[in-house]
Amino acid sequence: MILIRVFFWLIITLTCIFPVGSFLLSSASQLDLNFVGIILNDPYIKLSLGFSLLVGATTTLLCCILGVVLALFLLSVNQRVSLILSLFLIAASLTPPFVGPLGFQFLFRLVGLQSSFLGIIISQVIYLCPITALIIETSARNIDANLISACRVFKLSKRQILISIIIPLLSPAILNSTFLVFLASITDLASALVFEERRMLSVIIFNLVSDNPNASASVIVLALFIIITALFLPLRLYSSKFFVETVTGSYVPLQLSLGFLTKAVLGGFFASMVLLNLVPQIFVAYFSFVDFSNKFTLSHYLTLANEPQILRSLGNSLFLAFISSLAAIVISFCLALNSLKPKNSFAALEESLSNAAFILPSLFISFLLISSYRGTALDNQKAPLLLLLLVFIFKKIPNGVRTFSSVLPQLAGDLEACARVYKLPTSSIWLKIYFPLLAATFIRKFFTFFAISLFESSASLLIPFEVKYYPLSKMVYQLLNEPDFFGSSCALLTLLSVLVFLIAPLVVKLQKQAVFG
Amino acid sequence: MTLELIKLSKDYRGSVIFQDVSFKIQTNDLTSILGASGSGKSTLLKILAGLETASSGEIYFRGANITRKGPTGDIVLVFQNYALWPHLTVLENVSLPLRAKGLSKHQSFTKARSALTLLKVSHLENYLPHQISGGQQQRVALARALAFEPKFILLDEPFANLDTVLKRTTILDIRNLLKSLQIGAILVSHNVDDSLEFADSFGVLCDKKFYGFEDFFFFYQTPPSIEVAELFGEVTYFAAADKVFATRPEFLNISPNGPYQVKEIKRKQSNFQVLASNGKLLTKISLKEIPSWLTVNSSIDVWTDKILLSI
Repeated sequence: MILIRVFFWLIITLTCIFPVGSFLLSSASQLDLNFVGIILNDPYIKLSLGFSLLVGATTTLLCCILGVVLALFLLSVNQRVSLILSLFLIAASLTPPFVGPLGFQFLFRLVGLQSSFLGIIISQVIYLCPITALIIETSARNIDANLISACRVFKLSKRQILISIIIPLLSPAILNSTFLVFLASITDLASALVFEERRMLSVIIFNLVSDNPNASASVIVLALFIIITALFLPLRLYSSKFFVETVTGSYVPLQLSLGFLTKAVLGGFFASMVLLNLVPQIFVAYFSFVDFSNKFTLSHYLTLANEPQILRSLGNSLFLAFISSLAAIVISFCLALNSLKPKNSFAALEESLSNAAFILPSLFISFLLISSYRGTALDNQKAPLLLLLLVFIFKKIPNGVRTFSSVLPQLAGDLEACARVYKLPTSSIWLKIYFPLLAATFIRKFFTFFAISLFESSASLLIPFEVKYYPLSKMVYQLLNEPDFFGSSCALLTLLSVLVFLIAPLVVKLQKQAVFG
Repeated sequence: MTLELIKLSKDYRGSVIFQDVSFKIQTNDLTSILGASGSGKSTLLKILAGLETASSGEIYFRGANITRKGPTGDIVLVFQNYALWPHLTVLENVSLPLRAKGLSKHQSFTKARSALTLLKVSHLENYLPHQISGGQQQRVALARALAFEPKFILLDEPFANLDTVLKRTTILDIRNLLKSLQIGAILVSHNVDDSLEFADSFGVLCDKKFYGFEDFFFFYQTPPSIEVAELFGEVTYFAAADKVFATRPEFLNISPNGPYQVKEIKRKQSNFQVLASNGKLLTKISLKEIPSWLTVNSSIDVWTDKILLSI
């Protein structure tokens, strides 16, 4: 336990404290107000900042509205249908990088549309909207159905129930998902690169890092960091103030009863979302099976098998995903276990730091890491892989801690007390009670983390690697830029999409089996 | 002015919850339905409140058929877990239904405050539900129901989460209040003591059937089944003439010398409880006083003229 917490502190120090600290120190010494003024008066950077915020705001707004709509639809159907629909949402939220933007690029060309803004927005929405819907739906499932029955008893109209009861009760979840979506949107690199949108700040940072991280990039990161922190803090304060116990005594999970017409409209939205998600996958799959003259071929798949660099990148990503997921689960489980004990100031600090990854997107962490470790002993050939591993672990800790923190108190209460009354040794309590009850949660979390790491794009694209250490996203981007390998990259993405459709049912099944959480 | 159920039945996924429930009560009666856990009491209340639909049968309230009309607003349900909206203050919880009824903000707040005063929780109006105790939540839930000015109230085991002392005072307060307002109620409970404190007449849901409404002594002295008998008090068994009979411990009489041997004598509240066995049955006898001849291991005879049921 102590060893794992030391490991946590090592990761936090390497990925957060040292890079953020050295960045702030160097920024303070290098940047005077004049320089900041010059950069912010630069019309190009101002335009980029405005464009990125517009993309972020539009995606966030769309995801928020559609997420609520999809979540309400999930709540209105029976449990079996809801499980099948959440299977789609999970699969959509794990879509491999570049699939959405590539597919819509093909579609736009087909219909003669040229709009990088629209392309980026749609690509982001089809990926981020299912995540929003899942977060809101999970939160809504925790609302006691009797609260809605009480509304019906007192003759509140459906509009009043939605506005006065359901939306306020869901607002912490909506705000949290809104923040996550905004963060993911403004730091999204894959869509911006595919649509060659140089006005996106993520692309500017990407281009700057390709040369040398310099003061301009630092200012951009600093500006984004301030915006995000300014958004995050009030949100956290509001969420924590707003969180209230929704259940006393017996509890009935929420199931909405909607009219046929409302259900049909919501179902239509859901079907549109499924279609929007499938279109790019179909396009990518199509291009993986045709040659330049649009004739059927399997050569792209054969190229994949015969190209050692591609296989190696797959191996690199599988290795990184496996190790980072395992490490993140072990660390977050131990932190969650530790949070059950009475809190002292050190534990509170530990908890705050474990949440730091919420406000630090992968793009920023990677940028800070590259800046901080350039010229140090870590600046060697294999270092980028280690940095990426650290980013992966660091990013997953808050999610893991949150999951296990909601599960463990249920175990640590009467169940553990009962085991102690019957004099079960600690090893038996763990082996016979804790692990069997937590197994499904562990495995589900592992597969989710694994898929997210495997397809991570921002950090993977930003960190400069030697070709033999390329992770999957970087390799796909490289292949997309080489006309001879375009079909092969589509083949690789198709295989990864198939892998997602194999993992998603497993995640849903484990979610259903999980006794707690 | 009556509430009348005619052959009301409910089944869920092929299994019968209850069938042919029929009764007729005045809309200002205070009544109680007793039943074991899972007997369908809460389902019956939800059907009366319009939250669920009956599989068959009819419900008439003040002459109107309300069987498939959904919630009418005339009958309100107070939930077991109170179902107070957790994000609204106590005052907002009570006033929101009034706003939905079309009252202005000022009117709804005034009315809500009167109801809270009536239930002695007006000082809590700015608190959120999780910031007040279970007993206070229970009063707020009732204030919400009363402020709505219903014609009838359904109470779904609302006292189950309260401690014994608080429960007694709360039940009496609510009973007196409903009596003074001339509002009738059905309280469902599995606890006969709660029902006795609250209601004037009693019904029982047992084995998917409904019995009642009758007064307490009907069910206490002439229960239709052992299960119903057990809901209304302690039941004991004794053998006579090669038969086994069910009765109440206090209905039994004893005399010296007989087939029973005294195993234990203990004090139980104001009475004494004697445990005696005939080798096959352990019989409980409740006595006001212990005769001088009665000691542990002494042989006794057990007899009664008030048999509940013959087994």
